[in-house]
Amino acid sequence: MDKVPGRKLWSKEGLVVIFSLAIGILLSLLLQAPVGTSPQAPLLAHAVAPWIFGPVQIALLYLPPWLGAVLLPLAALACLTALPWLGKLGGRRLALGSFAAVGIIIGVLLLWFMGREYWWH
Amino acid sequence: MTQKRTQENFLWHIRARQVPARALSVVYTFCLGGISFLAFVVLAVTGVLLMFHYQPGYSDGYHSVLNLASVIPYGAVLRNLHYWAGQIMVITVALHMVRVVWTQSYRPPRELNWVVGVSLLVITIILDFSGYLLRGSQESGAAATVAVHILQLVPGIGVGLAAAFFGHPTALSGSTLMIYVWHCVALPSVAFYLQGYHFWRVRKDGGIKPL
Repeated sequence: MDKVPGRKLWSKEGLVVIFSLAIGILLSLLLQAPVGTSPQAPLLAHAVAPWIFGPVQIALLYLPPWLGAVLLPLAALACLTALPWLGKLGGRRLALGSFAAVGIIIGVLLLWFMGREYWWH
Repeated sequence: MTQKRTQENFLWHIRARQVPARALSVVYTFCLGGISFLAFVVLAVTGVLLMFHYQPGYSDGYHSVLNLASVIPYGAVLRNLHYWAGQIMVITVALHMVRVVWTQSYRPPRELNWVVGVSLLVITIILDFSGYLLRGSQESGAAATVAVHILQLVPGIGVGLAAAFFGHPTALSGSTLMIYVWHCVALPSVAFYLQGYHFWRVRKDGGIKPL
């Protein structure tokens, strides 16, 4: 295997840092982070979860809380954690299939949430 | 002497003198792990600066956020950068995980590092959520109330866990001292340690597998 001095990799990483920071600063100058509604304002009729918990909010609409918000997320987490051992047991197909199943379910619920709430933050 | 050797070993693994030539290609890893760590560093720096003005509490939380967003010089840019770095970190950590699965980098001898990575994903999500609660808005109060009720459903430890993590948020504001300390000190410290171990372990286990 061909080897190169480590400093060449550091230069590349330095460029990625500069590029990523530029994008972050640009985002911060152009897009305001939301502040939400004051606790002293009239009560909101409908509260929406932050986007990362959108899948849980959708699950809670249709499933009992112990299932939608406790058991299913824990099962997904257990499946992710156990991936190396699933791979040992059933090969790449089982590992990739389990990961894809978890990813697709979360992805569909997230899209469902975003479409339903028109809420992006 | 032993400590010095350990440090040298750690630095050697983090910053190897020679790397495989293919590691210079951007598509090798898409730099997703590195960008996640960079986002973490940005979050730490902007977070410390925000702490000079932020006060947790029922109405203090929201008012200090408003002050930061509209009164404090450069406060809005700092807060925006903190917010966007947080969102970017959640996305890059998730994409990093997809790449690791695609290249089967979870296979032996990397199982332990995979579990560390999953823990880091969970901590990242909790950090993002606790940051959302610290806004102190009505939305954060509703989210905190739902989260407390969900956590209390866990048999045996749920009630204690909810009290230890959330304190006593109200339905109108999720900002509490307890969440503040978890968000600013406890969780970032654990995440920092685990990231150091994660990077060290990558090289220890034979480097990165390409796409």
